[in-house]
Amino acid sequence: MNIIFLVAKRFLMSRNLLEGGMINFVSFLGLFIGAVSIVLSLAVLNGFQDVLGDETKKIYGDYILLDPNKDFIGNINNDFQYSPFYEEEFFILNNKKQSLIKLKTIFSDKIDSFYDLNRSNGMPINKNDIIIGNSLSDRMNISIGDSVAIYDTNIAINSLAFVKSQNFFVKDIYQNRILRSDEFLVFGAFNKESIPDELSGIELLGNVDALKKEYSKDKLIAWQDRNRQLFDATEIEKKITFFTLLLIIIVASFNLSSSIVQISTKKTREMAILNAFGMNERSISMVFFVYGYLLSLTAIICGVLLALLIIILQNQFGFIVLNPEFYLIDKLPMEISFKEISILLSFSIVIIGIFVSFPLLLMRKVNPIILINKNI
Amino acid sequence: MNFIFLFLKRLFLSKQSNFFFRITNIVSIISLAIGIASLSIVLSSVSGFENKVFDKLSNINGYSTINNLFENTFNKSDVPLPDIVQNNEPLIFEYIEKPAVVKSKHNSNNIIVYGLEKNDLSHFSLLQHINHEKLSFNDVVIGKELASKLKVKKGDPLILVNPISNKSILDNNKFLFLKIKDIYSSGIYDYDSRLIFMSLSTVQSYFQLENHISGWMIFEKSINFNELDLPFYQIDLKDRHAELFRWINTQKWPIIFIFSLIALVSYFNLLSSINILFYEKRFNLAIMKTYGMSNKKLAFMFTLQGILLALIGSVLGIILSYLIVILQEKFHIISLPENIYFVSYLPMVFSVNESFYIVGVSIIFSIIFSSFALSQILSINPSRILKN
Repeated sequence: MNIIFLVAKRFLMSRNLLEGGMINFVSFLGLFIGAVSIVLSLAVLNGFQDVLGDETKKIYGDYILLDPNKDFIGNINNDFQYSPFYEEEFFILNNKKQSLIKLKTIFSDKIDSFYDLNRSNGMPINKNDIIIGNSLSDRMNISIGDSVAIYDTNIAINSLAFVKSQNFFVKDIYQNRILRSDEFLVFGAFNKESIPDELSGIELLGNVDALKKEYSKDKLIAWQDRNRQLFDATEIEKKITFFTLLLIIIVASFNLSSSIVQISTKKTREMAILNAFGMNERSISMVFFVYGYLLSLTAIICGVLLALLIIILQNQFGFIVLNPEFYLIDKLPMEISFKEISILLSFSIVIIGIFVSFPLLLMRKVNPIILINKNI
Repeated sequence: MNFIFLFLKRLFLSKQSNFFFRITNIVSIISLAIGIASLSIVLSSVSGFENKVFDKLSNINGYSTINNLFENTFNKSDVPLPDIVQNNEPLIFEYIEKPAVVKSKHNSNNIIVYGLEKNDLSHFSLLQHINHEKLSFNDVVIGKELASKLKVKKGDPLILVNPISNKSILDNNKFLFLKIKDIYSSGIYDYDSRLIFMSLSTVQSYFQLENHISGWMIFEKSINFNELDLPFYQIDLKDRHAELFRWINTQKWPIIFIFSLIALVSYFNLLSSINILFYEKRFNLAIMKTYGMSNKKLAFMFTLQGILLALIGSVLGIILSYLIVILQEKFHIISLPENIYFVSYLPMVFSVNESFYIVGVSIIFSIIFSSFALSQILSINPSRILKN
């Protein structure tokens, strides 16, 4: 084994564990805590971002295509599912209570085959039936089977202006609180004889690679782009979390610097002996450098491994439970990617490099003979 | 006191001390300062965010409202409440809230109309710059986002329509012709794109709801009507926006916990410092112990070092966080997407009380961490050290 690596390893795993162990343990613990907390925090944020995506797709699909002509719908060749829809704002009125809603009219067969609404009874819907969200139902005191009036808000202001209204039966109530959809989004079914000439769009689910070649990003919009600001906000939160938690690694790296300083002061005699046996100054510096990296990378890798174990256990057994009424899910979601772990390791290697080099620079300025004479 | 100064002098300035020992102390202080500063900044951000959101919402909805459980609007002369309310009149305002449609030359949009007495508008900080005396019957104040959607500006005409009205389609009173008096910006997208303000009498007259109101807005935190009879109830801002404040609270504790970890890791440096002090002074300690100095006194010296380092680090951290809070509040260095977070920058509020708590907890932690290191020191064998 390389002599530098051997000496560095001996410093790390001293024979007198009680004397040298304390210093190493303290440095190890700081970096270990840092790595665990970064990986777990990112995993939780990723988990919630996935929940946001999954729940959004249940109502809005993976993509929306803004080229809603009927010919296209007829000739659609699919690796994916599709649902043409027409969406418009209305007032809903029930027992003197009013609310603004968005009525999304779709083909009735798509309600269960395309969307995943977590409905109360799963009854099929026909013309003049609607499915409302749970929060709207609570706020407006509407139950399944009630008749509600919906008023058109698209008013042409002239002397003959009139407001169209229509009565609908509430056929079902769905539960999906993502983006507060169940407060305002109401599903209805097309009257097959009078499908509007112009649709609002076609929602798509699945692999749309074939369409990506034909349509620009303005026409074929992914769910992330439909909710760009919210998605960006979650991305920003992840970045802020990552960089602020790197502070733990930085603070723990101060410990590492202290450890190197302590080890170097304690081992001055040994270093002087190695020097006498022909080891040059550069190699002696390398011993401390390798010692610093051995200690810190062991701590960070152990931290990452523990965090991965917690993530696997959580995904398998769900021991950290959540209130589904508030969080949409009943167990804490966790997910981490190899890329994120690699970024963590890369940043850590750079930070550690700086903090390991700093005491070595100072040490070069100190004459070992003075230290030995001071009997330190 | 002299003893502490002597100790401080020896700790940092003594020429007898090892260069590395002094460096380690400085490193401990820097890492403690970073740990404490990050914790203090996070606490400032959490309370700043909560306060700012609360202030913004209270500027529009008051601190609480009194409403009717069964009716969106009710005839105020039919209920006994006005007597109670009148005793606190300056801070309690009648209001009416109605959904409607507003149309400009270019576009139409669904909106919520807030009708308020002209004089009461001055209590809304958003609308304070408007001359309320000159607010005429047909004047309306709309939000920035709505103005952008309708492509209108100050002074432009608007038409208000109640789509649920049962007025004849040929009745000219079906439409209310309005003029934009002003445009406000609360920074809350939902309000700026939906909420418009008009005078109470205009709304009552247009919606044919003479003497009707939706309830009372209360602009004083301490006013609580505990003895309201059903169907009336008082709902405060935090209950009205329960989901939002629950979300803030849910975020708060994990953030504080994670940032406490940074502070915790910085205390590990104290262990290193005490360890180095012990190593550097082991001969002196062995001699002192041989001369009869008790373990208690030795422990006191090491604990004092821990406390002094923690105190200096914490105070520096607090000062650093105070400077960052001031800079952030002045220059808004960290910005946020306003339509998601309700604020365009990360608001921070520095709390002196919290700072004292942090310094206090820091001292307690320094004692705890010093005692870990002391376990090694108290087992010191003077003869073994002196022999070597």
